[in-house]
Amino acid sequence: MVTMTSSADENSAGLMRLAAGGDEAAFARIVDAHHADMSSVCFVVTGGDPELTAEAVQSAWPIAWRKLATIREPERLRPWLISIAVNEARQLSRRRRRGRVLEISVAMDPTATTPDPASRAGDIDLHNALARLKPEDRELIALRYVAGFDSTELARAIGMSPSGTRARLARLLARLRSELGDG
Amino acid sequence: MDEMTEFERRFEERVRRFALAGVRPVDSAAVAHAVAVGHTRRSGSTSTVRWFGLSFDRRALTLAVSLGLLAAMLGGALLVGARLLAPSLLNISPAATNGWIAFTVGQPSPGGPDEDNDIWFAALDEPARRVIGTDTDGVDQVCPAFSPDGRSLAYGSAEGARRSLVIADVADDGTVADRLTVDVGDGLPPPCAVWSPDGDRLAFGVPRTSPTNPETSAAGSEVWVVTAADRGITVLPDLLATDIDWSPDGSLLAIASGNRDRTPGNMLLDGRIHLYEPGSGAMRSLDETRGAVNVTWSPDGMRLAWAGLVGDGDSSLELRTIDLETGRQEVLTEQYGAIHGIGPVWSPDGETIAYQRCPGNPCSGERHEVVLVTPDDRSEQTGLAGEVVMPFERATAEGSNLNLYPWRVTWSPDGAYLLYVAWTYPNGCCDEATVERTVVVAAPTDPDAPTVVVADIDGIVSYDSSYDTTRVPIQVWGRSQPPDSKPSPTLVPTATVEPSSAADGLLTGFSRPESPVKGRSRT
Repeated sequence: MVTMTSSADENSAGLMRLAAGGDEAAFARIVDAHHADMSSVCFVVTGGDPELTAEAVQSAWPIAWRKLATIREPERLRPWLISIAVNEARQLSRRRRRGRVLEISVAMDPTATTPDPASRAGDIDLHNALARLKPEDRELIALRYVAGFDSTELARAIGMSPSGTRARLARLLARLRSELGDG
Repeated sequence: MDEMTEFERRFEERVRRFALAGVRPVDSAAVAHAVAVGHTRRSGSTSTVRWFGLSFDRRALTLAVSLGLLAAMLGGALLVGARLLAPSLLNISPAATNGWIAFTVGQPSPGGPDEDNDIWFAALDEPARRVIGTDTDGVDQVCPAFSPDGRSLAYGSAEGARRSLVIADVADDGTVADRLTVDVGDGLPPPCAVWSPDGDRLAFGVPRTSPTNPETSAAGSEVWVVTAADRGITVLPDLLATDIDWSPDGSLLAIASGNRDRTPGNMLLDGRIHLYEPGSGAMRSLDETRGAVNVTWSPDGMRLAWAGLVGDGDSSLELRTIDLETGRQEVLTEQYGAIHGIGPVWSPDGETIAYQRCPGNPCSGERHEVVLVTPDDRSEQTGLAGEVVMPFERATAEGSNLNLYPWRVTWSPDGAYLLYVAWTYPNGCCDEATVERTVVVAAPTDPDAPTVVVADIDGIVSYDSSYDTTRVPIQVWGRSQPPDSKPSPTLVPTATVEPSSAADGLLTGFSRPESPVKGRSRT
């Protein structure tokens, strides 16, 4: 059997080897490539908390540095890094889950290119709906719709079966549809 | 495209747009440098990277999948005890139980997004009712465990950051009154305690950061033993405990624990069984039980059954027994996998061991089987124990059928029934139209006998509890001591755990941490 390997994978594999060997520059390139992904996924897991998000991703990098040598396949790097970050985000969210007042910012995002009021209201609704979910449920949403994990990757990441993740996702979507309307 | 699919497509767009707000610019080189130099160092001799930075208290939380959690928590629910059920339904010995079954129910808190976990009692002849907690108390009460005499109930409490073990009195009518509270520490998971069979002590895991396990998501890093009479606490530090079980006479506590690391699949490496003797403070490791993850005593106290990893880096398990006098081991099962569920739990009559396994190789899916093996009825050809797989579908006492995918299972006091906390899917499992419920049922070990639904109410806490832990099952029902049980073998202490220095009691098989953690005793 011939195994096809893309040049991107070869580059990733090389970076991973170098970083696992202690090469800071190689590790910096990995950070550069994946930090945004990890942040966006964690943002959803934390229910839209930028501080927890930053803390989660910050906590994830040292773990990745320490255990990078355990990952052999380049295609596993992204889901692995995201899983580490999500795990941190979930734990942080659980810790702060009780007694915390949910603050929804109503200030306009200065970086937004289209400050459409309707879209903004929709974002607040979404924010509220996500905040009402348990961290585990937000994790599932984030991994599926932000990270783009398929059922198998989801199952591996959260320790459930693929069919179980699909069932739970379906239930979550039904709940969110009810809360958000069809929009 | 149907409406749901269209909603999903639009939802995906919205949540991706929302997620972008979490992305902030980062100086990758600075991050890499901080990680590589600022907060880590490499061991010159082994190339092992050790992390010495960031907030350790956060890591303690990460450790939170715990022993303590160990268990009862797990399925969240649990039960225990059974009330004098209608004899026509369950023939449970009245002497062994107060008749009540306790479990955790989590319902949305009206004041916020969180579930509020409370403790409910049910009996076969009485509907479920909440006995601890309210919708508005803002306190999670979890992991109920009846004392062996049925007169007390221990449970874990989480109020704000405070975590404590509460012991309450239980009246015959099922009313409950808190008697004493033992604080465990802020920000940790609430404790899930296991009573000693004599009712004198409770043991539970506390997932605390330690030099042995500075950051990984391991199980309990300490085991606490609390004396019920005076709240005296002995802490056994530097463990990565995944399961605990008391010997039938209460003189020994078996602790499945490792000392190294976990595999990526979250399985403990280098686990083994340690025996702790509270009376003398002695601790001994059973090096023969390498790989141990879960443990259960035989009712006569002479054997341990344990599920252990077959090899490092392999998540396959094997069920074995070890004779504590001769050291002789028996392999009872083929290799199997498990994602959740219980480890081995010995039946009260000593004839059967129940455990859960995931069909298929590799293990996948949530349809974990409940398997009953007979350790003393082993095949001459294979050497393996005879086994019966409990069916997923059971007829109920009401005449309907129920599919059951149990998360947690324990025995009735007479060993004739298995008490499940189980998922059930009225419309079939598991397509997108799946409606899932969690129920508490009493399933006879006779597959053809009717199953009794003990509780079917919204919010019974199952595997997706906010405090869930994976694996680490303990048995909390059916722990009555048979009258002919023998005393546990006497340990020859090779060291003694002094109340003020429990770390000294960790003997063979434990790697010493770089900076020993001192144990402590509190009253």
